[in-house]
Amino acid sequence: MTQTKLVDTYQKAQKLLAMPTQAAEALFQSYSTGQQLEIISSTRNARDREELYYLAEDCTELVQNSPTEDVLQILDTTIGTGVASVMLQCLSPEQFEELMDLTLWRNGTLDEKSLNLWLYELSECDRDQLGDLLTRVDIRLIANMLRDRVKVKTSYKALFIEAGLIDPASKEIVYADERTRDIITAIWEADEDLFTHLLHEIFVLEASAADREKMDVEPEGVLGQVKEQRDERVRERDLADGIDITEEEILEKVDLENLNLSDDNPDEKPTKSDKNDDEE
Amino acid sequence: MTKNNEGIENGALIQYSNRLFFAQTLALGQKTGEITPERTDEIHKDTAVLSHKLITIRADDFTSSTAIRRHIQEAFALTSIGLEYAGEGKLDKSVLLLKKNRTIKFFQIGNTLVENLVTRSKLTLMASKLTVPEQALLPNTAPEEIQIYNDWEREFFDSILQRKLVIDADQVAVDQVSSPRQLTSFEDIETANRQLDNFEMRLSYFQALPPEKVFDPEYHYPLNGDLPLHITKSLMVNVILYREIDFHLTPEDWDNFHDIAFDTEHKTIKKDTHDRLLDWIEHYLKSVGHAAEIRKYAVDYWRHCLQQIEKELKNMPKDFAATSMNS
Repeated sequence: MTQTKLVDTYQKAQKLLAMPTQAAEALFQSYSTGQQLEIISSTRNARDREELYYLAEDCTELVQNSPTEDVLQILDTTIGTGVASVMLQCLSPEQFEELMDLTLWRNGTLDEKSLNLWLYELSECDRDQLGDLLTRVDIRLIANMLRDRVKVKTSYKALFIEAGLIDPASKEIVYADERTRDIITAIWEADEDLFTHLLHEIFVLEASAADREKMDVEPEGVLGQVKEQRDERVRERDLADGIDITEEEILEKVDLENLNLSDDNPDEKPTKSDKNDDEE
Repeated sequence: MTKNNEGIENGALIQYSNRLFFAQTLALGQKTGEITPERTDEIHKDTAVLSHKLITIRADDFTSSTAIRRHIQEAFALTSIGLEYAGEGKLDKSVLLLKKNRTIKFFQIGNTLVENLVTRSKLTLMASKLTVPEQALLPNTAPEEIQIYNDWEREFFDSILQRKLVIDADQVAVDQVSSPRQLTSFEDIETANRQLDNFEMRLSYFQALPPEKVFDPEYHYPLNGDLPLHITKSLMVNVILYREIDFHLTPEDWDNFHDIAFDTEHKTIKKDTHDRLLDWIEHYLKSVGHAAEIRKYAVDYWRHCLQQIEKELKNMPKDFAATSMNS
């Protein structure tokens, strides 16, 4: 189907933003999805774009057809306030995964402050939606963040957890603060299995070195594994977008005494094989 | 892609500054034909990708165009510093390097240089203090450590930790700073490193002073101002008046120093006092086995301190010397 391209979408966006809401909604909804996306992407102001999304009857399709980074820019203005959950619920699970890969890591390390904000925001989401979204966050990350804020006080911790005998209101669970309780409760309400899985992961992290050995788990390496998997996803997405520079390359330190640069043959151009040599 | 004559995408968030070595190299390469239009396009694409990745790695606020602009500038600046370092500051050599190598390599070199500087700055800041000798029995009110940098110098350290610079040239002692600006050239890195060299040499000078005297509980430290300068000033007064290493400085001592050392007619410190003090510190550091480089720095630092003292004496009527000394 051929879609008519709008002329001067920026002016159209400004006009819509200046109109009374009802009239703006009617006009916006008269455009096709493609045209609506054109109008939204014509303005770089995050708040204006958010307002334009909400002119649609249901902005789910629009959000899911928008670049994830554009949506993140809007979410960043409201994250941690509980208001962002409206737009969060419009994201596809794949978009949400990309978003988490982008925002939970700073300079190659887990940003716990950011994870905390996102978990709080998620706890405000509709429970069914939350269940879907949380399947896209590695539960080991959440376990790592909450391990010092939630304790299961029973001698038969493993048994209680595996048998599903514990729920967020159980007296065996002690929370460090209300926010942790809200997050854990939201996870349980969204997906009981996920809740059990979370407690299990927290238990694994807390287990003594000897216990860990028995379970054949290396908690110190857990974050490393999570990061490796996240890095691989980022690499795949980047390559699909034509981005051939990796985060490892950005963060890599070089030997300043031995730069290993090509300058001996000025006629030779940089080639793909040069690049592969670099990577080796 | 639409480009203007500087090879920049129209409407881009930021343009390469022509002052950057990277931009100058690219311009020369284009002019001489060494860098083809295709390679120019690749370089532009590489810098755009670099900026994009740097933003995704470092930015914590994607709504702030100022923050995003800063990361883009940083990507360009680090690439430029790396290219300048690799090409030893020679444009023609850098053209060949830029032609032959992936742009990320220059970014990595620039980033490594800055990371090394930040690490060195952190270590120097931590080390730049004198600590009370373990065996000394001091009252609770005595300080346990004395920082050997002043408030301006603290700003210098803070700016480097934020990968910025507040000085235009290295100084024996920093007594004025400018607004923090981004590190954009290899000379900026060198300036910062030379300033850190100065702090390390100053630490050696202070460590050569007897700690049990520096930390004498009867010595009253001023709460504000340039503490390393104050300690040196006290030492100078004691050397002139009593020919001994001490850090007590009474209003009477200051008054006497004014009478002996200050030429009221010319409003300068007398040449013989000036020379005697510089000779004294040179010989003292030699006697404790310090290298010529450190002795030279210490003499320069004493010269700087004498200039500050001279200003202080010049602005202070003799009658008020004693009363205002401790203010």
